[in-house]
Order: sequence, then C-alpha cells, then structure tokens
Amino acid sequence: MIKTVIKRDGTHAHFRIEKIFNVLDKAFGSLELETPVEVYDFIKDWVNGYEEEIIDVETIQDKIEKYLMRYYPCVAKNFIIYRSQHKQMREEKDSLIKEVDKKLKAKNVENQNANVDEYSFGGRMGEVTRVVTKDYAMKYCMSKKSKNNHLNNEIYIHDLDSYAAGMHNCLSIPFDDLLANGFYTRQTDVRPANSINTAMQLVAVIFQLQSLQQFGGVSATHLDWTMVPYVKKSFRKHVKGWFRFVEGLDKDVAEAKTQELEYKFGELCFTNEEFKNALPNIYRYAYGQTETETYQAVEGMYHNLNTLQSRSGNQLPFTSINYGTCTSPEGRMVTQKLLEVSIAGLGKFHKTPIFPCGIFQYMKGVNDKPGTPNYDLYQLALQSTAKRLYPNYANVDWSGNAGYDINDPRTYFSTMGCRTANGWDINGFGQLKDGRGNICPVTIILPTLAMEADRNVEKFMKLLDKKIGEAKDMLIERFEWICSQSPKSADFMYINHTMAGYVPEEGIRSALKHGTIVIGQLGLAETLQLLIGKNHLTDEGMALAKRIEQLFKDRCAEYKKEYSLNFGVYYTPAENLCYTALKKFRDKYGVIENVSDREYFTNSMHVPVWEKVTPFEKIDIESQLTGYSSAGCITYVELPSTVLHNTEALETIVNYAMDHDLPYFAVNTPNDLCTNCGYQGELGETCPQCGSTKIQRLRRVTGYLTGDFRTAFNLGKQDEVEDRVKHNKEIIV
Amino acid sequence: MKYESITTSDVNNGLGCRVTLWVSGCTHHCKQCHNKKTWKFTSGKAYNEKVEKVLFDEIDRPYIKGLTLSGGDPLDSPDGVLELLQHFRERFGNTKDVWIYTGYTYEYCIEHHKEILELADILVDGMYDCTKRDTSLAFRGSSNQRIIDLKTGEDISSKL
Repeated sequence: MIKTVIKRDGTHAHFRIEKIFNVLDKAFGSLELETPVEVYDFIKDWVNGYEEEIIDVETIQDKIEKYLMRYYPCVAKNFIIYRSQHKQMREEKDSLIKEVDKKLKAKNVENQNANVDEYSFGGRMGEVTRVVTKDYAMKYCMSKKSKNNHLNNEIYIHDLDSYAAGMHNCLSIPFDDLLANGFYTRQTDVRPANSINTAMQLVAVIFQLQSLQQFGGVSATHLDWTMVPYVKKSFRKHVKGWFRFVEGLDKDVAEAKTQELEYKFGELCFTNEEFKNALPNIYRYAYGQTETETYQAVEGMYHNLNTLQSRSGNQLPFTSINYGTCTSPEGRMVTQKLLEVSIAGLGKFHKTPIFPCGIFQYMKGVNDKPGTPNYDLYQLALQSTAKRLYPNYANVDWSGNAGYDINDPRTYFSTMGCRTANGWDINGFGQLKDGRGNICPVTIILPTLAMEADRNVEKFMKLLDKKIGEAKDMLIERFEWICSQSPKSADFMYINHTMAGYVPEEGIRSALKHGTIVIGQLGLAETLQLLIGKNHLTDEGMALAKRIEQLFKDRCAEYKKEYSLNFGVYYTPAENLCYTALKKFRDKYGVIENVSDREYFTNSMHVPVWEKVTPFEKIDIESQLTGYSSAGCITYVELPSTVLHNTEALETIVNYAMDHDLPYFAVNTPNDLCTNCGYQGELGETCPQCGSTKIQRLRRVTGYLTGDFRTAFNLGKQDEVEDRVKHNKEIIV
Repeated sequence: MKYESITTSDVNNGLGCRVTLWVSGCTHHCKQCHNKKTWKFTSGKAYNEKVEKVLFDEIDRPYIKGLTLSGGDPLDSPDGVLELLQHFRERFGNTKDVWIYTGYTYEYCIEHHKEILELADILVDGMYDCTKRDTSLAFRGSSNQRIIDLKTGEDISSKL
C-alpha cells in the first residue's frame, strides 16, 4: 500500500489519495463531465494493492495516463496536455531561478550598460529584478507580434526590464522653473535657490531625483543661461558680505547698506558700470568672491554627479549639461568655470570626470569664429576636449532644428549625452526642449531583415517597410502602457512638472504626448554589405543608404501626423545590442565576411570603425545621412594621438563638422591614466614615468564615457574599440 | 630624392591638420630613433612630378594647414627639398605653411641651408637625445630640440 510519495525535488511527503482524485476531477471537468465512480474505485484498489510503500510522482501519473488512455481516451488527451503544461511551467520556473542565481552571484557579468556595477550588492539586486520584470513584460504586457519581433532579432525592445512598471526613458529638465520656484519631494519642499552655490547643488539633487522617475538619462539644456540669476544673487550677497565682514557691520545694517546701493545704482551686477566706478573696492571684492564661489559650486556639482549613486546604489545618473551660448558676463563665467573644472579633473590624480557629459553648444556669430563674443570659451572648450574628451559639440544652427526661437535658449539644439534629441513637438511645444524627453525606443536590426529578404534589395525594402510599420505598432503599444500608469508612480516628476504639460484632469498622457517615440536602427553598413557587397563608402552604397533612410523618415513623418505622436528616426546607441544582436545573428546565419565576422554590428549608420578614412572623409559621409534623423544621432572621429598641443587641429575638425551640418559631434583621443603615479596621456603597455602597468584607458562608448574600456565595456564594445582605426591616413600614389 | 610615405590629416607633426612627407635618408642615426626604416637613402619610392601633384592636391584641401617635411632628415636631401619648396610656394604662395624636422641645429642650417629656411615657416631642430626624452613635449621627442619660428628666429617651443 502506498504511504509515501517522492516529489520532483526529491523530498518525501505523506501520500494523500485525494490529490489524485483532484487531478482526475480536473481532467474530466475540462470536458464538463463528472468523474465516474469506477474510476475512483480503480485508483483505490491500485493504491491499496501496491506492493511497496514508496512511489514517485511520475510513476503515479504514468499509471493514471495509461488507465485513462484505455478507457477514457478523450479525457486522457486533456490529462496529457495538463501534464505537459505543468512540466513546461516547472521548467520555466527552473530556468528563471537559474537566471536569478546567475545574477545574484554575479556570475558571467556582461556589463550590459557601461555605468552599472553588476558586482555590487545593489547591482546584483537590480539585475535579479530585471530578470523577473523582463520575463513578466514578455508574457503579460505585449502582443505576440511584439514578442516575436524581439525574440527573432528583428525589432529590439529597449529596456525591457522597465517595460512592465511603465517607466519612460529620458528627460531634459526645466531647471529654470525648478530653481526659481523651488520644488517638492516626498519629505519636504525646497525653497528657491538664492546663490550660485545652492543652485548648482540643487541641479545635482534634481538630476538625482528625476533619474529615479525613469530609466534613461537626464539633461540640462542651457545651464549657463539657467545660472545667470544665481550668479547675480551671489554677487549681491558678496556686496553685503563686504559690509558685514570687511567693515564689520551687523547683518541688518549690512542689508540696509546694500539696499541703499541698489537704490542709488540699480541692480548690483557685473555690468553695473556706475557702481563699479564709484566703489571699485567693493565691486572687486564681490566679483572675486563670486568667481571663487562659482568655481567651487561647479566643482561641488561635479563631485556630486560622480559620487551620488542612484537606483539602489548601482549606478550614477546619466547626466548631461549643455552650455556655451550665453554672452552675459554671468553666463560666460558659468561656462568658463564648467570648463575649468572639467579640465582640472577629479580626485588625487585629477582623473577625467565621467559625468556630467558636457556639451558645448556651437553657434554661429556667438562662439564659432574669432571676434564672436564667446570665441574664447570655444577655445577653452577645445582645450577641455583635447584633455578630457568632453565637451562634445551640439550644433545650434543644425538645419534639423529649424523653427527654434533665437530669443529662447530653451529651444536651442541640445542633446542628451548619448545622442537623443527632442525634435519638433506636434502637440504644441514646437522646438522647446525643456520638460521633454524620449518616451520609448525600439531598434530595427537591419542585417536580420537583409537575410530574411534573401539579400535582395527590392525584397528588403518591402520587408523593411512592413517592419517599420510593426515597429510603430510596438511603440504605440508601449506608449499606451506607459500612459496607463498612475501619476503617483512618478510623483516628483508630475508634482513639479519636470515633464511639462501635465494636466491632472487629463491624466499623464497630457505630458507624455510631448515626448518622442522613436524607431532606431542598427548595422546599416553590414546591411549594405549583405545587399550589394559594399558599404556607403561607395557611391552605390550611399545611394541605397539614402533610399533606406528616406523610407524611415517618410514613414515616421506620416505616423507623426496620423497619430499626433512624435515619431522620429533614431540612430540608436545600441551599447549592448551591437553585441547581443550580432551573436543571435551569427547563431542563425553563421559567419559572413564583413558582416558577422566581428563581435559587433556597426552603430546605426556609422562608417565601420575599421575603415581607414580621415576625420574629414568620415564627416563627409555621415553628414549625408544625419539629416534623416530627427530623434538623435552622433558622429565621432578617432584622432591618432593627443591634440593637447594642437587644439588648432581640433578646431579645424569641429568647424568642419559644424559646417557640414552635423547635429552632434564628438572627438575621441587617447585618454590613458597611470593609476600608480597619475601620469596622463597616451600610454603603451607601461607608464613612461614610473613603469607601472596599471593603466586605465578611458574611451567613449555611446556619447558618454566610461571607466577602463577593457573592464567596463561588454565584449562586443571592447572588440569594437580595439578595431577602431585612427583617422589619419597614408596616401598611396 | 626618395620618400617613405605621405600621411594626411596628421595632427602630430605641427600645428593644425597637416600633410607630412616622410623623406628617405638620414645621416644622424640618433639612438632609439622611432623611425629607423627611413634611414637608408635607397628605401621608399622615387619622388617625382606625379607624386608631387598628389601631395600638393592633398595639401590644397581647405582644412589642411600646410606641409610638414620629416623623415629621415629632409635636410640630408637639400636639393630635392629646395626644389619641392620652390614649387610649393609657386602653387600656394603664403596660404599654406611649412614645418621642417631636422637633426641639424638651427645655427648650422642658417649657414648651410639658408635658401630652404627662407621658404619654410617653422624648424624643429636638433638630434633626438633619448636621455632627454619627454613625452609631454609639444611636437618633439626630447627637450634639447627647439621649435624655431623662422620669421623671427625665436624659439617658440615654450609657447605651444
């Protein structure tokens, strides 16, 4: 007689016959039948007559299955289905747990995202959550079509781990408003900033708070302009400080004296010549103090942005700051200090800061040529780029940002460091950047489509058209999912209107509709190779490239109008995707020369990193395609050696890029640091100063930098960096 | 005259983006030279009209600041270099500049290569001294080497 059952996990349990009856009732019940009495009797007899006392679950189920097959074949069929479904569920649970186990123990760390420390406690917790939420999203949040496109390596859904919770991607924060009005947090409210120091620290705090409301980056679109009122407030504060600390007067008397000056001279600011001439000592004192404070305020912000870990302690917020066009003395001072701190570097060895990503806004007539008011700051920016890789350069005059308001810096072209840009808003904000961001992206893996179209150009164009349509459906599906979330999920964002346009009565869609939803792409170069055997360095390749990009552009423009949502063409950073998509591709189609014989697919429409071209040739080629993208793109060039002593060369290259209407441009130069003695420059295997081999090699991964590329990058990106050829060139006669 | 190679968009051998002609042949043979393969006067390819046209066309691009002559030691092939520079000025006048790297000192060059110096703008002079190697220096390998502005005769290396 059976008394004990061996369960699947090997443990023993008391045998209970009613469990078998339960299963039988379910099987018969599925056909809306009652279990016949003789079935129960058969089981009873079998259990009582069984020779041993111990039995395993599978043997019991086999017995039932066999019996049903013989006497009740229709019921047996359902029983078998029930059994196999449960088996599958068990297996899925096992594989989920295995995956959890891997992440929890930080085995096989992939460095999916250059900024996440997957070894840390916080990182491991985060990774586990990601495994579960990804699984959930695939099963319960999306249509079968979306899921299949993702799994088939055709259309990739980014940040799947944030899908289920319904977060959006990134945001340009309206700092002007938040600093002027103060803001609310869960525990308190914060008063408006009253000095440049406070304002800069609040920028770091707001970056931090906002980055917890979303999964992507945060940016300031015109930080120099934003800070002008606070530099002025600090200047006034230091005038008052003169009376208090130099003249030794009481606080109230000092305030009265300061007000007297204001009554006499008007607003006390850098440009108040009358005040300056009448009281040069006070002016000089206040100016000097303000300058020192501004430098320290910027330094403090840099420290905060490189130390305050967010999202459970496993990553720094992806922060970007745009600046360089404000020509008032206060705004110029801010830009100058931002650059000086960037050049000085951080820590004991004055390391290159990873964050914030600095972006210098290059603007004709403002800072581009000798004689323009901020040309000196452009020169300083070039020095910083030569030494620190930052700033990158945003082109305010880019044709794609037409319709911006020259009197409103909130509409000047700016980027999220990686490359994402806020294009023209069809829902009323026009070129306003502040309070807007990308809501969600997908990326079409072009090489997969080329293979599925049998490497035939016409078939490919047809398939691509279909897939762009499906990408649109996938984006709308996710957009609606995000819109269905409660505003309480992102309290800080909606209470403080960091995302602009929120009308509580209308729901969060009222804000989200101003953001962009974007169709990205990966591996144009490989796709051209597959279709016509050559890439866009050739005329034929370029012609097809343009045809492909035109299709993206046309379709996005149509969808934008039809759905009143900001569809855009996006040249995806694909930090991790370049590698995972290639691996999947190779598993399916094998190794194809110049397509899948490296560890990565080429970024968006970039010239492959292994092609030997000069910086100018690279700009010539990529600038023919950047105009198709409204939602963000970047071009960068590799310089063969440091240009610390040759910013003139750097200037020539940046000017050339801007003149060719590139929206966003960056320069890569060798940036190595001996972590033993602090020597910086381009280092070989050993440090020329101390002989140490402990060398950190900083490289750009998307638009952002990351730590040593050999440890912080995923394998695909490491391989890509090794393959990047320097953009100087031998001329063969 | 023979040359080893031509590098364009060079940011390493002089201010701005340049085209560098690596002239074959050198009589100095500095210890730990970084470009030993250019020592022989017989190595490389012949410099002729066809090469010159390609070279000058490349320099003609608006983003190229000028020509750098390195090697080898270009001043060990003075006749070829003089002729090249005369053609250069005929075509470009003073719209492009010329840097010359040499193992000879400026003082020696004034005496022996006056005509060439008159056609060039900057001279980086002196042999490479590996005991004075300093990788942080602008445009040169060791601290004994100078960057001379040929218009004024001034050593401008500390300004770069």
